[in-house]
Amino acid sequence: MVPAIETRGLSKQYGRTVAVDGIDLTVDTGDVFGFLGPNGAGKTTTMRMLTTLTKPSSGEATVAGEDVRDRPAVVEHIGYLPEEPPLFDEFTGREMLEYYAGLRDVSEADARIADLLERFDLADAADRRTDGYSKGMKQKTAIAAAILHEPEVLFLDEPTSGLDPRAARTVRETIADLAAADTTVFLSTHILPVVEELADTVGVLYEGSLVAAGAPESLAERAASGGGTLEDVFLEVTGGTGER
Amino acid sequence: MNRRQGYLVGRAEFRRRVRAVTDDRRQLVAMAITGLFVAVGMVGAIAAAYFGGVAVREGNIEDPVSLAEPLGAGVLVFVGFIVLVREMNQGEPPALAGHLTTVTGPTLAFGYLLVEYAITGLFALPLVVFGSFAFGLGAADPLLGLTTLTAILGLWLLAVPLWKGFAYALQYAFARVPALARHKTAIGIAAFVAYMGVLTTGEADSVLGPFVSALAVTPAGWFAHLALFPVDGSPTLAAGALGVAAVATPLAGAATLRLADAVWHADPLPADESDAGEKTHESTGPGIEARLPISRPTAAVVRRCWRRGLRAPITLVYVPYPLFFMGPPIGQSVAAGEVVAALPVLGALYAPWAVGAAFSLNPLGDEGVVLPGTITSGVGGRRYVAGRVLAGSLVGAPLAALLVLALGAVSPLSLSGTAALAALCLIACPAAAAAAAGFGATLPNTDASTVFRSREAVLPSPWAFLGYSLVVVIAMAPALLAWYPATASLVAGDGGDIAIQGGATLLSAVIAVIAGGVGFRIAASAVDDFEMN
Repeated sequence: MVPAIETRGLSKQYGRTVAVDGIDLTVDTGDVFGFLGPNGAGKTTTMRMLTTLTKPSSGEATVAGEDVRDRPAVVEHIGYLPEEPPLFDEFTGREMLEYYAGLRDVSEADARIADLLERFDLADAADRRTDGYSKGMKQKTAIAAAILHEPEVLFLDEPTSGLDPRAARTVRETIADLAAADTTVFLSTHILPVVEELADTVGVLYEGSLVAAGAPESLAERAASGGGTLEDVFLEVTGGTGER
Repeated sequence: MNRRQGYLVGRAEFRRRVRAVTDDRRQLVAMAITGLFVAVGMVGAIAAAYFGGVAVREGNIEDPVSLAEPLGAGVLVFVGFIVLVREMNQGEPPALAGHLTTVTGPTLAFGYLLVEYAITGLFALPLVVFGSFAFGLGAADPLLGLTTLTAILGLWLLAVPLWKGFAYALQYAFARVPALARHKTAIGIAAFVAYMGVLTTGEADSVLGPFVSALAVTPAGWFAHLALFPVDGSPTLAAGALGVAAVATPLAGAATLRLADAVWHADPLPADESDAGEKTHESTGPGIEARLPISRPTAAVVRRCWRRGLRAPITLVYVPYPLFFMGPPIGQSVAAGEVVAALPVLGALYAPWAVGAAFSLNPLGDEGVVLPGTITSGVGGRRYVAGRVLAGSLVGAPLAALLVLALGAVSPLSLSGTAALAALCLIACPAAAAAAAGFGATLPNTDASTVFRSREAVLPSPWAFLGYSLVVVIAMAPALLAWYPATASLVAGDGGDIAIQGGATLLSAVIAVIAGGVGFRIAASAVDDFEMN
């Protein structure tokens, strides 16, 4: 079976600065992959390479079996939630989803949009402009836009950042539902409990390199402190301390 | 009101504004260029002041006070105009919540008032001081220079808080008066159009003249007596001017601080046209893709452009800029009371330019935060650019043709010229839009600029604007030269050889189509290959 995401020596350089340095990783279909790393580690650059928004300097990467250098082929299979919700202030939530449905030529879009608005508890606000939405509502609308076309691989950049507990729970449940339906989720976040709860595998990026990868439990066991948490692992491999 | 805190606020804000300009190379260059023109104007004004003084000394001016009364009122209006436009443009002060939880509203407003004095003074004081000195020198009367300086300073000290207060009062009215709050976008657009109309037609004198004349018979006119007191100003009115400055300035200042405080603490009423919380779903009916042979993604881009254009017209603020060049024929038409033949010809240049610029001149940057979503949607460069081109052309091309037909019909331009230029518009509009997309996609601008009252918009890059404008001018030049009254005889002979004029129009159409085709290909591949680095 072709892995949902596979990279070999994936690198990105900006001039002399190495943003991502030879990443090797494999994410199986239907897995939730938790992508961790401190600010500036290269997470967003990696996601941009995997979503075709930027070209790798070297190395190989495939998403849903397609080379990431082939944008038209890759984007058919993916959904992407950038860190900042990609919404026009002047549009209503429904219009935003209609726009994305139009761009992607989603069939039976009206029913799909109505279903997603209902699922994300946005139906009542659907015909209000998004500049009047709370951060959680914007994030939920953006996630709805990212999964509108039922992508095989979903890239989420900080999907629960700044959300209230109820909205965060809706997002977590959605990710779990998607994974249960065999959607592969590439989840970049700083919120470690979310990764612990949802991720099948975890990768920790530090200064452009993948410094740890594996199941959350096995990583935690490997932590120097022994039997620690994902936070211990994170701090240990990113130059901090695992001791509390 | 705490003066010490006010000084601190003023100093910090002044430093912030200076850095905002000096940190932005483009603004700095624009300031330097403007400064050169201003410097030349100042030298001219100082020279005029000197010769004015000479004329007073030699008794060449029969009644200098009567002449100076409107000038005094003019200073009040001019300073007021500058302060008003600046204040209305600035919007809410930065970090307002932080400031208002640290100092009182009047203290904050005091700081901002000091900044206004500092900034207007920075530009005006050298002119005022040297101009007054030159006036006194010309009149060979140092006292006259001194009284002139005192009068102008008095007017300036009064004008700043007076008009700043008026600007705050307007803001308060637009925030709290339902009828104004509801239609503030429409009123803003109407005001902008009127402002542009006055500037392009050169009718500022006839608009402001009656206002200045009316002010001249109020105490504002007394400052002329103060300035010319050593010549033949009335001592009573001169003293009155000093009294007005001494009493009205602190009163206006106090009122300004109160009004600012009221504005900053006002709960704005919702505006119907742009209410963030208002339900704005509209039935779009059958999609345009059902009526036109275009793909659904292209139709989605067209709809998106129209919606954003209608709901955020401020994003199209650059489109009327070239109207400045239409000023002379518009002014001539206004003065003559009939449409001059040049107007439909220039309309045939501007309309395709505007249609092309409206939705295509920054096709990537205009997406803002939505750009990653658009790029990864799979829409593809060709369909995306086609949507942008159609968004402008579907509405703009027929409108442009109608505009030229209407102007041509009521002007001395021949019927054949009118028809040729209208037909050219139908071809030039989509071609211009495609050419614009080529420039905009190659030279995208993704940085938002503050356009009006803290409202930010991502405008096309100046280089795309310039390059695109040049191409439109080059493409339209043969037709324009063949039909423009001043050049038609040079191109097509005295009677106007219709074959030459028709050929020139055809040549324009061919150049436009080629430019559009090239632009489209460049734009489509730029969108396909766009990288977010």
